Amino acid sequence: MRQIASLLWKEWRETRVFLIIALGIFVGLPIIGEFEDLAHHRQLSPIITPWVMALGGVLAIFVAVGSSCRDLNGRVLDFWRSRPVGVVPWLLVKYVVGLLIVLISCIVPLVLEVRTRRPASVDVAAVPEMLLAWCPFLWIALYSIAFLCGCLIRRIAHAAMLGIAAMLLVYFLPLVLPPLESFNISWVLTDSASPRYLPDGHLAPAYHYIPWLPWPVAYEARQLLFVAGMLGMSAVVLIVSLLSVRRDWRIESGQKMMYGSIGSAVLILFASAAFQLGTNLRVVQTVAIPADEMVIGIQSDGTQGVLYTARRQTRGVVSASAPEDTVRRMTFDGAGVELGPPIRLGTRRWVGPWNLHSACWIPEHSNVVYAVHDDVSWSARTLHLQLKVADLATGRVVVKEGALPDSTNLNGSSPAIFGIGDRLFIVRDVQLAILDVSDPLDPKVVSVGTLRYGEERRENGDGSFALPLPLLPNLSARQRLSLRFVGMTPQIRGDFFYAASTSGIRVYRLDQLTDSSASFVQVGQYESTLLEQVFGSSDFEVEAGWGLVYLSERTNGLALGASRLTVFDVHDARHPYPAGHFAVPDDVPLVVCPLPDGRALVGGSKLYLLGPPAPVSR
Amino acid sequence: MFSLVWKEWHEQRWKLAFGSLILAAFTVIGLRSRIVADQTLLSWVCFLGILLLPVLSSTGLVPAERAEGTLPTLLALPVRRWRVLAAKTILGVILCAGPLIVAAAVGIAMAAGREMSAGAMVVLFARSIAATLSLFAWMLALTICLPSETRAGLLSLGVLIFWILATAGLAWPRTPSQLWVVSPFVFTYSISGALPPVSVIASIALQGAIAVALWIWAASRLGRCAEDRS
Repeated sequence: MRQIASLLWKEWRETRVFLIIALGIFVGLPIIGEFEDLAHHRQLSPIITPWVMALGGVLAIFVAVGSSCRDLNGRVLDFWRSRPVGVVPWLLVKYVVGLLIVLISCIVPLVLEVRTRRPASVDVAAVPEMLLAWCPFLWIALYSIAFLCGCLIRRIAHAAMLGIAAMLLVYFLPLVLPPLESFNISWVLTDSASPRYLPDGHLAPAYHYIPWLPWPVAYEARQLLFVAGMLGMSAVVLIVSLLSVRRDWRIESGQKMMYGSIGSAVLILFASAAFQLGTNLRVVQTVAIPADEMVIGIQSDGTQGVLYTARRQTRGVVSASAPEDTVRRMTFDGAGVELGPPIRLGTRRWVGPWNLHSACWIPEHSNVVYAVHDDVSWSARTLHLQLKVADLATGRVVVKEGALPDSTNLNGSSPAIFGIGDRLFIVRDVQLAILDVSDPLDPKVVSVGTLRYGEERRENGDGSFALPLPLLPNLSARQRLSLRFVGMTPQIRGDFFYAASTSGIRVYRLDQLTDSSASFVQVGQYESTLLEQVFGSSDFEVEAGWGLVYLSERTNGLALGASRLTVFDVHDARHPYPAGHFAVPDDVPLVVCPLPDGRALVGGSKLYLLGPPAPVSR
Repeated sequence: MFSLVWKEWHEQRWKLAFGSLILAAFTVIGLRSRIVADQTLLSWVCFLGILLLPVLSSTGLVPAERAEGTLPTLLALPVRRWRVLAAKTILGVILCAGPLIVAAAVGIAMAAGREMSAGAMVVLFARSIAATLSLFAWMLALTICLPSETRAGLLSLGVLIFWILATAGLAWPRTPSQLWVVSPFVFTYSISGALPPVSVIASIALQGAIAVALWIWAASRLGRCAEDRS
């Protein structure tokens, strides 16, 4: 026993520096970051989870390699072999002490975060508990693998590099190979984060609460495979480590082995990223448009529609004149989409960039397009807005004078135009013009006034909020809800409202609809993975379809300017997930028009008709 | 001469296989999954090759052999020293260009005509190979006298960073566009269209002259380094 105690003391003395450094990073740095918040909240509440998630595995590698390689080189090994100490107890002491250091370094800070956490939103609250529930098994496995690397290679730098390569494989191989999904830490954490509930609010019978934690974290039986896998792998690897030292097995590490291991790990990493993100949508049809034009808008009801294009600006060169807007009729036949001849709408010099409200096509009057264009009188400092009516059948464009009042506000917002039935609404800032389009080619002004909204937007702090509805005459609350809100990126389809951010998408369900407001509650959320955030963008548009949500990103990350489209399946509103992806060689933003049958029209430098994403078994 | 080349080939062929495998696998995975546009993906492959291949090839030719202690023996052979360097340079060129050629072939086989034409792909990879060879010339010349592969690798990385920053500086709006033909990245910058195109012939001629001058300088230093260390 004294022998074991001596070994324990020796290992503790040599390894405790890792504990000090780890606690300094995992606890000290977050606390330093919280000092600024301390004056406001009067309570220290460090956020430690990101540090532990990012560096826990790396810590396990370094501690394991340090513990194993330290006494397995040259004369030090000869010294230990000459001592009356068994190889197995000696190595087991090293293993256990190092492992305890890793677990204490990672678990204690997470417990500290749980105990000091301020009341927060639901999606943040349970993250450290879930890490405490599942990640220790992952850390044990990583530590064991790195320990084996150290025992076999016995050179710290090479063993560390090989250990890191192994760590990448443990993290990402389950993502690539479906049979290994049960060993995917991301899946385990995600499944515990969003367990299924019965309609009465109770946990579904398949789920239970983890017994080894004092906090409620749900799990299902399948997740125990992860625990068994990690512990089983650790046990096997430990046995191999003991055998390797006892029988003096070694791997002569050289340049080729290092190149090969790092190269293989990087390739597997890239493959896992690619196959996570690259579930590409089927391109049913590609329709070419003139090389100097790009698609700026699409409106369709699935049987017909219109396509808006504008002249492309040469990259890096400011165009001397504003792009000229063009509209084309779209018809769908059995094969796909057919475009009609272009109709020039003219240029918009002042009313701001094109957005999805810049022109209006009403399905009930499918032969007509309405657009707002402008002319500025600098002497009078007046903005003269024009309503243009384009007859798609004949190609004529008529300017409806007097439909909109002149404005002296040259810095106002872009006008928005939208229509329902026989009514056309044009909004700029707070001005509202209502026109009667019973005769589609001859709109008549009904009224010009001030646009008013219902009560103010209200956020209740629990994920629910209320949106004010525009107070438009002769339209029901449901009709006004179906109108696209001016300038708002989130989209509404039916009873659902989809909001996107750099960290994922959120799904809200309509809870209450009154004449003046619509109240929504959050029902589901998808958190982007690290890879998706790296490849993603802060410049995106959301378009809601029928059970699918389209996120059009103008990438500014690693994709060097290419545009991407990600499709989320939201048939189960509580568990949205990415179901499709599409990338094109353009740096123009992709415009999306979802179709009721699950297909989508996507416009950039060309017009693409994409098929629905392949069904994924969940 | 053939024996020297065979000797270098025997020692370095694993690097050629490794580089070709990595770039080809990268190309296959990216084109198959289509996470980004084909042109973007192939640009990444070229960028990866430009960054890694000159460093890996230049550090493994002369500095590695000096670190192993076999260079004096090699130079003591009844062969002119410039022939020794020429054999190493031939292998270096193969190591720089080979993996990119393999990646180009894979890209053309998988995705020619899909989003990019085969000709456009060939042009993209040809420009990248030219940039890689220019960088290789600089790295070979500057690392010729270094005693170890590690130091040579660090210096090569420094050369790479220097030219990246210098090219960015040369791309400053007020800088005459003719000046940046000096940069090894002249072949790749003009692809993006961000800068006014320069004469391809002028670029090739100037970069070729620079590479020859660097090689002659390296050959003269190889002899002097060997004498100093002996």
